[in-house]
Amino acid sequence: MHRRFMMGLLSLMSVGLIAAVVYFKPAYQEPITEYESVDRPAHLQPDYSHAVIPPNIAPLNFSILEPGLLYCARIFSAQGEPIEIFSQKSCIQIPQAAWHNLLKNNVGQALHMDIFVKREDHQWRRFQTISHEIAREAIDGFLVYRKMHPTHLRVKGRIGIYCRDLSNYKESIVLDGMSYENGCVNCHSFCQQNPDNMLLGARSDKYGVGTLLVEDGVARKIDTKFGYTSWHPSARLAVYSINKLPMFYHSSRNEPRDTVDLNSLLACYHNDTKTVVIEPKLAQKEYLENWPVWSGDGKYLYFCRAPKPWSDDTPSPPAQFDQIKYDLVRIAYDLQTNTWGDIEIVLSSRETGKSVGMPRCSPDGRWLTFCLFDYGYLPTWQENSDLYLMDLKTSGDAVPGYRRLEINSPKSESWLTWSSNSRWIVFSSKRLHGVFTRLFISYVDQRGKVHKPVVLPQQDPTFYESCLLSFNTAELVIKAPHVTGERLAKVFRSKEKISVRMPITMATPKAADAQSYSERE
Amino acid sequence: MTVRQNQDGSNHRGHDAHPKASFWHAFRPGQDVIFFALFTLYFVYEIDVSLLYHGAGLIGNFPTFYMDWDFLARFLAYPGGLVEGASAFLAQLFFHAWAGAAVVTIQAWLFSLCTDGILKAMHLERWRILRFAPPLLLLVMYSSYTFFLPMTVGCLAAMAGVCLYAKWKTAGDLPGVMSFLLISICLYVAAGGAYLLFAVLCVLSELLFNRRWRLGMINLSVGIVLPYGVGVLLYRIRCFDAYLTLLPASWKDSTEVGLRNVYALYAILPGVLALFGIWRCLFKGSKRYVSPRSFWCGSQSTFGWNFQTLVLMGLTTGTVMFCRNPYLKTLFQVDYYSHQRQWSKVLELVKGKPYHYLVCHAVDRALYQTGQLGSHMFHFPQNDKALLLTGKEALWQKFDTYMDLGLINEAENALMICIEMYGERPILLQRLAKINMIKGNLSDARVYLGALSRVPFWRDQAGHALAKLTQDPDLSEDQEIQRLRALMLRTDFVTNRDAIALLLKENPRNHMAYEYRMAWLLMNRKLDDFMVLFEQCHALNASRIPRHYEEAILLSRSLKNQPIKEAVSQDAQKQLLAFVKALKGCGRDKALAKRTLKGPYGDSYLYYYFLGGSGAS
Repeated sequence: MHRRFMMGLLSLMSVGLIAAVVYFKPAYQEPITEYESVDRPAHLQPDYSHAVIPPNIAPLNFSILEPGLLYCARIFSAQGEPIEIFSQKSCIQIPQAAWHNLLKNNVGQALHMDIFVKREDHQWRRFQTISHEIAREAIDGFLVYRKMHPTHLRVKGRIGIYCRDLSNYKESIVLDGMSYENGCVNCHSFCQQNPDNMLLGARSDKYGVGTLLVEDGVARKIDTKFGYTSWHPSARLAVYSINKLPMFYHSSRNEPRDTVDLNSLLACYHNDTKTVVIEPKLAQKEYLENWPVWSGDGKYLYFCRAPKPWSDDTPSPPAQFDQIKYDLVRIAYDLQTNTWGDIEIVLSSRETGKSVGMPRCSPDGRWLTFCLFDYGYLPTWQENSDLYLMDLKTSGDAVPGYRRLEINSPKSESWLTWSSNSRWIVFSSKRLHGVFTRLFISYVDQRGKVHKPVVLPQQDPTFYESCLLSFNTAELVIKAPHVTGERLAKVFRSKEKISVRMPITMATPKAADAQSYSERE
Repeated sequence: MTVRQNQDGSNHRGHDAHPKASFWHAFRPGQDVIFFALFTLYFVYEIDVSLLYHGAGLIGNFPTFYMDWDFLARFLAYPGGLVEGASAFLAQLFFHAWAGAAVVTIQAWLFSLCTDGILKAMHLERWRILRFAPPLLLLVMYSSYTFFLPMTVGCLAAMAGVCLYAKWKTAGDLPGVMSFLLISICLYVAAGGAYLLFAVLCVLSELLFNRRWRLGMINLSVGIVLPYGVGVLLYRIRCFDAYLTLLPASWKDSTEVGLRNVYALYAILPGVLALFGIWRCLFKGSKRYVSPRSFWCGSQSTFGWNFQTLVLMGLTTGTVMFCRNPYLKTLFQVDYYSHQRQWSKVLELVKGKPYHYLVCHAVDRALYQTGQLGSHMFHFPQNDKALLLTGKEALWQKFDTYMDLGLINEAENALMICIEMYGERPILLQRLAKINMIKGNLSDARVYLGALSRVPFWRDQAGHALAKLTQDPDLSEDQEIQRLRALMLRTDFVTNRDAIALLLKENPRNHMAYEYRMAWLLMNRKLDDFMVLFEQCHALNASRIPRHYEEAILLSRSLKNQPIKEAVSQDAQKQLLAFVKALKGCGRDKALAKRTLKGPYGDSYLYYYFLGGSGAS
């Protein structure tokens, strides 16, 4: 019996060993001495060519969309050993250590890539060299985003906030909706790209609504849900929106989903006193206020505002839902005296003929990005939403100049986040797939030129070709959040909470639907 | 025949028994072979587990599975993941009825082996018939078309662990604890909370059968602490999940009817061991300890069949008889054949079946697709809300109907919500790819097809569609896509509007919209609107007038005393006269009229119009 058992075990191990050898055997390599030049670059997917890439980014793996028997990619720069990868498949996976060495040794220089394909006639073809530029400035090491199915009626599908290490492909869970009975996770915000101060909205049938506050490694639950939130750079207060956002469908528009902000205001959460204060200037009855964001120095709060043309009891969607256009406004704030200035219009919808949404200030205070689109407050579901850049350092009283970015695509662009050094942006775009939102990284140089974006790299270069999840609400952070996963979920499930006195207004949201949640990408 | 006394006092038939008895004794595995052969056939031909794979919108927990390392790696991230992953893979075999039946049969057989092994280890050989209890419970579960494969595989893993523990008979406490701990850790990582069944069985065996009190108590402590240590502290999952994953108590919907069968599956062996263990503790050695063998096992007949066999036959027959649910099966079948567009099978299946909202909807689709909606709809029970599913929300059934009509966005919304409700089921991915092809969102169609190509059994279909997209990027050669593009609603609105009327306004040749609209008008007795639409669109959509339309035209003209301009058949006119005469003959007694006229006119619109409801038999 014992002998038979040992024989069986040995046979099993042998099979495993053979399988491992077959699976991990190095790809066939041969020196490419003769080749035929092809007068065009190879078709690659994803297309990273001619982009400016962060010096600390994970290897930009790609597929060569050319027919062939064998593939070779030679990646090289001025300094260091070139990387040569042979593959019988069209997928090129770059070794991480060699890639990082090459990037580290050539910061600020060009990175070149030669693509060779061995065709059926057993002749190698060499395509035109593709070049990238390695930026001098690194991107923040981590990206926190939400993944969900592109639907706005959540029933029991998986939704979660994840943290991705940008120097490799490791993705960890920050908060998974499943950990509190098919709950929902909403917007997350960090103070100055630092996860030591984090706010994260969540809701669940069983555990209600709440906001998770992480401060200095300790998580607590606030008993009200924050909408779109922005931390003051001092971390002493955060301004958030309270919205009434019903969802509805279009019968024939290519993007069927739509929403309208029926009623909204901005509220201030004072972290020192754990209280919520409604500043009348930020909660005017005749206006819809949304998308608060602090300037880099914390002296101004930028937000979007539109006149409210309907009464509070208007059924959804109101007839004028596609006429609403938001202005970009700002209000001065003095942290020492906790006083607010007057509201100034920064960019009027009358001037642009469009609606403004999702403004974000660069941490150095120089730039402000925003989306312009046809109507309403949410650009994600509007195909014509484009990214714009405003220069806030316009001299004197001159109106700040703004321009449409060259990186826009015919599809919707939205949800932008800045790196802490103000040199990188990550934004959501539907350019690859009209239904699914993907994340793109772009370099912003000192003059405000935004360079060709690259899609968030994945280990499997064909990843996005079968990924049914949308990536949104991306936030760059300098380190991985400390309190995550079950530790965070446990706090949300617990009965202990910080009670903030929530002023009752017409915009105060009702409790979440017991059966399902509406969710925006 | 010789009889020897066993250590526990029970009598065992020796191997040197009477040659005839010995032969039949040796042949006893025949009982298992016959049982499991019939079990397999029952699953293939009666239950048909491929219906579970399809789901019909009635099964919300059928697992998604992709042939992909990243997907598989997710199952390693939590205790119980291995069993869940294995179950998800095995569930894909339900795609084919025979493969699914093989999976369930093998599982049932393993259950039987493990139960047998445990009973033998506890010296309860005389109760070996209990080995058929888990297979019978599986039969009950699948007869009610519920899907609990991960939990049952978890249970099986725990029982296999007990067999292994019993096999590794250990002399002292320390080896006993070590073997228990080793199996516990492996089992907990693989089966999560289902491991607790293993712990309970081992503790019961040590305490009640082996009388190793100290070892039993140590095992009990390990069993309690281990999920916390490994699950909560190591895997960092919550306490609830650490203890209850894969146990029936973890089920979100505790009202689920089939759940009690899973509870029974988990409870049966602990119950048996506790009962016999306590019985032995109390009565062994006393005069009151009676071996029921002579009665229970009886002497074997010439054919080797004894009382146990008869009980087994009775139980099996009873289970099959009482747990069969042909009506539920019809629901699954109707939906399956509707999605497969096998319309004649749908109509065949529902003959003589009572009314059901979803069946009614499927019948109307089948009638339309076979060109019989205008002539045979009142052969079947009808409900205007079932026609377009405007009564109860039925998203799973909605998407195909709405896609056929040209309401592409409605279909897309239904599909997206279905993905939320049922997971990334292959049929949903396939339909979403088609929707995006119709809308011209080809890159999105590729994503759905890309995902579909990673699902077992769907790779070829997805690959074929992807190749077609590459060869013909606009799909200009695809007649089905072109047809649906032509039907697609162009008017954009966000509030509730009459979408069918809009479809017809945009394209009066939208045949399905026309027939559905006409059917709805007939069901709601709106003869004026019916006549208007008939005059506007009928000539564009059909060359002849179907039976129910003739009846409605005649009714409308007669009620308004208008001359009949339409080419209505003489038979229809005669039928109307005969019906009115018969109706008058019944006076004001509606019940009598219903009874009397049901036979000759029950499938006519006249009956429906005057006597209410559908007169279908």
